[in-house]
Amino acid sequence: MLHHLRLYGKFIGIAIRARMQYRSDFLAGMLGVIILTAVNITLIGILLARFTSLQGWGFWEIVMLYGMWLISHSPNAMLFFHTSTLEEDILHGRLDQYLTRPCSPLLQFLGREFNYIGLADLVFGISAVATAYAYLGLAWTPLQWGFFALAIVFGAVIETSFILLISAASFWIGRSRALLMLVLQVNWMTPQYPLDIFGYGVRVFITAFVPFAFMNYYPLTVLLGKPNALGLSWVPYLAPLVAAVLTALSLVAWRRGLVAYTSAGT
Amino acid sequence: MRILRGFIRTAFRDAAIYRIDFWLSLLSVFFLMYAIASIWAILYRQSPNAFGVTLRQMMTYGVLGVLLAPIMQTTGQARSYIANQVRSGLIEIDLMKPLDFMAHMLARNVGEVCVLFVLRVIPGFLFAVLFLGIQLPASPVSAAAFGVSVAFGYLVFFGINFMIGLLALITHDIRSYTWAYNAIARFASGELIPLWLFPPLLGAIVGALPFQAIYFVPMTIYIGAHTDSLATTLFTQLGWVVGVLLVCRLVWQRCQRRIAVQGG
Repeated sequence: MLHHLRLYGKFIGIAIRARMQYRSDFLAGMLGVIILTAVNITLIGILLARFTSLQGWGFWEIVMLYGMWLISHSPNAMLFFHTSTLEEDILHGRLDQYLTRPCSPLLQFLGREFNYIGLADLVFGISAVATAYAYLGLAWTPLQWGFFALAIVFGAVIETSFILLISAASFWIGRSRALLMLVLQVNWMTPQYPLDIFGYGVRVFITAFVPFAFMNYYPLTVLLGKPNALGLSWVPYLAPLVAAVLTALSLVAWRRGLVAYTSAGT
Repeated sequence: MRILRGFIRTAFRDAAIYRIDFWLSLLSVFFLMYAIASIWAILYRQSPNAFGVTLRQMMTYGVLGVLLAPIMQTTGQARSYIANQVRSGLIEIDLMKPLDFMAHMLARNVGEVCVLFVLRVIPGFLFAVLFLGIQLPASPVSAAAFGVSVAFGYLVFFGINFMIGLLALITHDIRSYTWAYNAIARFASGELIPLWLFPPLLGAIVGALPFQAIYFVPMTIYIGAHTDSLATTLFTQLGWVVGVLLVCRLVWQRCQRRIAVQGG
């Protein structure tokens, strides 16, 4: 395990050095994230300026939702953004390289890239949460801050392992892009819209099968004292369990997937 | 014409290979339409008069945005194609082809647009009419006007994407800018929220940009919320088409000279 961690650190170090070659790319990427987030928040602002709230969630509460998602998403954006492109690696036969080396293919795949853009997510997320915190006049206890921090960690694990799990489907069906798009679409809505906007059945389905709401929505219902979309007060505390199950599933899927894998032959 | 048919046939064959892909994409369109319709319904319940139009019109607007998106987004391929060719240095080969470059870029997507129309837009539209209760066009005239307007919108979007692609000739790599560009295009085109809900100043700025001709104009025509007469609205949009494509042509001619001077 320790050996693997050290190796992973080395891979990431190489990826960072490779990225350093393109500095203007970094600035443009940062600018991109800032504009993207600003546009999304403006859109919500336009709506809520007229309609005051979205199922009981006011503008600053949604900013908080957005900020918390960004923070929780930043590890994925920095380190694991490329996991969603496993399909292309398989189609172009790049995966074969990993198999020839005396090292875990999953580790090589995970350690392949580093994206600065995740840093912008982190910075922007922290400032969004801080601003919303001030506007909402909140005063969290250390215990609540601890809960917030843990929720972010579990959220990050849930997002990363879930996307890894979905992309592993391409070992079998060859092209998992549509499945991934469906999942990512839910992930794009999570930061901006509380789960309450959906009908009850869809809320249950999304909570159970596309659990991105654990990254921001469920912990915030606890911290902001709101009823959650399922009306079951224990649901937000399932996050560690969901994280553990998804991690185990994604590892198993990778192991099985590699066994089932037949090269594209290109 | 035979080339076009060739493009269309290959596009359909490509789509037929990946069936799971087809069903899942459809599901994802359904989900998005459902989500957008729910959001508008919730907002409407809070203050029914803040829309300026009826709930049904508003939901129709939102759902149309989802339905048109896959088609409109194919114009982005002109952008990524040019950028890729520039990056790999193959753009000279495109110049040698006995085809007008802009026409070639536009024709490349015809096949895909047809596939998307048959496999995504039609089933999506039926789903939306049956289950989400969106309205049909008010009359055959407004249906026809909507069709024309979508085509105009497509051309405007194509022109903008073409120009952004040409940026690659100057900056060599545009991939990192595309995020910001896509966000702005989504925002200013009225794909998600109609321009009349914007605050006055922002609405005025966005209204003066070409992006609103992409989604906002056709979708307001469909729900019958256009403020000018139908003819004026369409002619203004046509003005944007001509303007954008003319600028494209000029920029392209200058770029061509630039490439020639560098001498591949």
